[in-house]
Amino acid sequence: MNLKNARRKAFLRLNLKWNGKMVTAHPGYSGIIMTHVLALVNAYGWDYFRDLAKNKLHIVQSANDPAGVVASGERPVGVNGAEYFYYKTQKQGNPIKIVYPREGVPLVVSPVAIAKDAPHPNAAKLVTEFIFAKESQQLLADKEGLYTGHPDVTYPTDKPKLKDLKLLPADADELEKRNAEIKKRFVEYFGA
Amino acid sequence: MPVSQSGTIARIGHGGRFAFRFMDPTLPVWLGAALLLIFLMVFPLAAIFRASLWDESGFSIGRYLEVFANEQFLKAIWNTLIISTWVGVIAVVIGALLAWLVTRTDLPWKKAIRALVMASFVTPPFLGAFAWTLLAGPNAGALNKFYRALTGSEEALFNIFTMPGLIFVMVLYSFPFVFSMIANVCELISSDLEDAAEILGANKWRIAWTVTFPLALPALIGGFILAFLHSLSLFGAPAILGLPAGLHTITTQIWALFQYPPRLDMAAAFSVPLLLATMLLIAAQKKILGRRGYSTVGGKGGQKRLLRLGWGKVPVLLLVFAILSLSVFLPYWILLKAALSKAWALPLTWDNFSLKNVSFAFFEYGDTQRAIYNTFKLGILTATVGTLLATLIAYITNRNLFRGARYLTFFALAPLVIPGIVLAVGLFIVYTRPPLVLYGTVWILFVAYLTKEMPIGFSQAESTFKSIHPELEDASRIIGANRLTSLIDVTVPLARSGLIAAWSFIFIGVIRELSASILLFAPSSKVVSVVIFDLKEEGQVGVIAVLGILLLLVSFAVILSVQWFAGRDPVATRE
Repeated sequence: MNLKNARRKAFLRLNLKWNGKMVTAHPGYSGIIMTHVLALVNAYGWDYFRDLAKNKLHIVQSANDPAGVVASGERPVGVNGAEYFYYKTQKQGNPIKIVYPREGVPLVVSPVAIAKDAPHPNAAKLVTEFIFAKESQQLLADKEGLYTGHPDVTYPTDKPKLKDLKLLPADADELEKRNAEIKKRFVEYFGA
Repeated sequence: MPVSQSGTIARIGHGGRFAFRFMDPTLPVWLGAALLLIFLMVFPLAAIFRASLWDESGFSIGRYLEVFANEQFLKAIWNTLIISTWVGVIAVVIGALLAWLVTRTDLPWKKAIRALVMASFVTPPFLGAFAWTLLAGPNAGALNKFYRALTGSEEALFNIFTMPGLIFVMVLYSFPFVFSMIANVCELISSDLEDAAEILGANKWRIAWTVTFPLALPALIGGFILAFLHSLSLFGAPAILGLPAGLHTITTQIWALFQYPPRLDMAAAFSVPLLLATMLLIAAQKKILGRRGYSTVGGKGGQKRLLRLGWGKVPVLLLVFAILSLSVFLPYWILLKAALSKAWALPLTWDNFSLKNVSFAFFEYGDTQRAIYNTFKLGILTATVGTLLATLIAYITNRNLFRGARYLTFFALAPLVIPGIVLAVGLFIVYTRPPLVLYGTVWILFVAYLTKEMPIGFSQAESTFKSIHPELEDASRIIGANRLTSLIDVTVPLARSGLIAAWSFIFIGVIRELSASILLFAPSSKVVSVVIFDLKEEGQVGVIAVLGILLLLVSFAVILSVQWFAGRDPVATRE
């Protein structure tokens, strides 16, 4: 199929073709996937996951896991998972391709916070500054394949620019509130 | 002993010889061991019951109602019961067959068969499960690829990510427990009774069925229950093989409940019915077996003679090696291949050969070195303390040293009915708050392992003591030795090989422990099994294989040195 203009629902339409060929990570174990599910539920409704589940997916837990399953050949398609991990797996020489669907990709942020009653708040601030310094952020982009919030960071040329992607954000409060519901519905459709 | 009576005795003897004769001076040792055991078991269990019933808002049975109203939870319980029952039955058939073949027939290559059974025993189930994903994954599995290449078929021969696949792998790593239990018994049954039957005209199959089988029946039922409970508490194998197919078992469901936001209270409530059910099972076992023992070994030795297999030798031998290739040869081959190649799925040619996985595992991956140190330190410590405690407890229950002694069996076997992961929640609750904060250190793992391995050590010591008639010990006591002395000088030397077996059982159990460790480790107290599980999430097949092979090699080294020192195979009794 044409990977360039791929849409998620295409995998559902070709129901039989992709039956038993896909892998998904699990929102009950991974915050990344929890965010992913919420963003897509907001975009398509639960029908998308209900239809997806009919394709007998291989279910793993961590958002890092699908990349390895695809690389091993156990399942040719990963329907979700951490993009940076697919990228790293690809860079290790595995013949896999990353598709950024046109309808948009869920944006998962990894914030850093200082606990309210932290015993060493100044040390914590120093760590925060260290992490958000340009050098550290550049390292995350180079070594981990992550997108960062720092405006001066440059990215590998074989990755799309963040501004060229349509991003599907998920609201943190909504995520907290609907956590149990998302887990429950996902388990209902996928079995575990 | 009632106070008034002992007081009287003390007065008569002025604390002298009379008192010694009636009041066992070694009593504190026995009571101390019993109390330590109860302390170990009761604390985490009480914490679990408490967490399932109480929270900030007070007492409530709401969690239990929630568990039994939840279809998912009920399905997990149902799945677990089906899986464990099948595992128990198949493991008994395979374990008993192999045990009987190597102890009571003239099958050749018995040493090799025993060694391979031991290799299956030593293989951590999560490692075996992992190896089988490489062998029989429906698309990438080596065996399925081979099958497709051979037949041109599109379909997979066998999908390991199914319930039968999970049962299959669990059987492979549960049957050695049954084997060792039954082999012990078969070794101990002398041929006298069989000879009697033969003199009366029974043929050899009838003898096997009417004499040998009933004598081994307690061990068969015991073996079923051991395999059933073992598979019930496994976490790694169902997590690796069941979850991808959307199949929850009780242990994986409990793990899911620990995920954010953790519901420890639900996990506790979920495990309590399981706990009660397994208690009933053990009570039923006691009831069925009653007082029937198989103490056919006494001070006078019997003889055992071997059944001639005749023409059946070759097919039987082939069958045995086919079974063992499933648990040993195939998984080991794929692990070795994964460890030494750049891409595990490709043939291991010179181009594909690489030691990168090895150097990465030992020198580059940050967690490995400390994890290896922690694992082996904990293994040795737990095995030593555990064997000591198990010996004392088994002796107390076996010789019924004081009133209520037999209830200690319940405490010693209790961890069998607690999946490691549940035990870990209990310990987590107990040891993260004063007076004893162990969380974050390796000591919480030590306590977990000591508790968890007690049933293995205990049942090993217990079955050994059961087969040693007290008459030898009575002789030493008549001559004037106290209980502890006769235990140390008479019974332990007789039971030596059984106790050494207990030590190595515990050691190997510890170094492959995953289900409790996964909740109790801290960054400085990671163990090898946890590192392997971490690596699985990253798809680091080669590195997992390297660490897995390390665990296997160390286990073999332990067993070989035990064999060398004790002159004996730890997975069975005397030859």
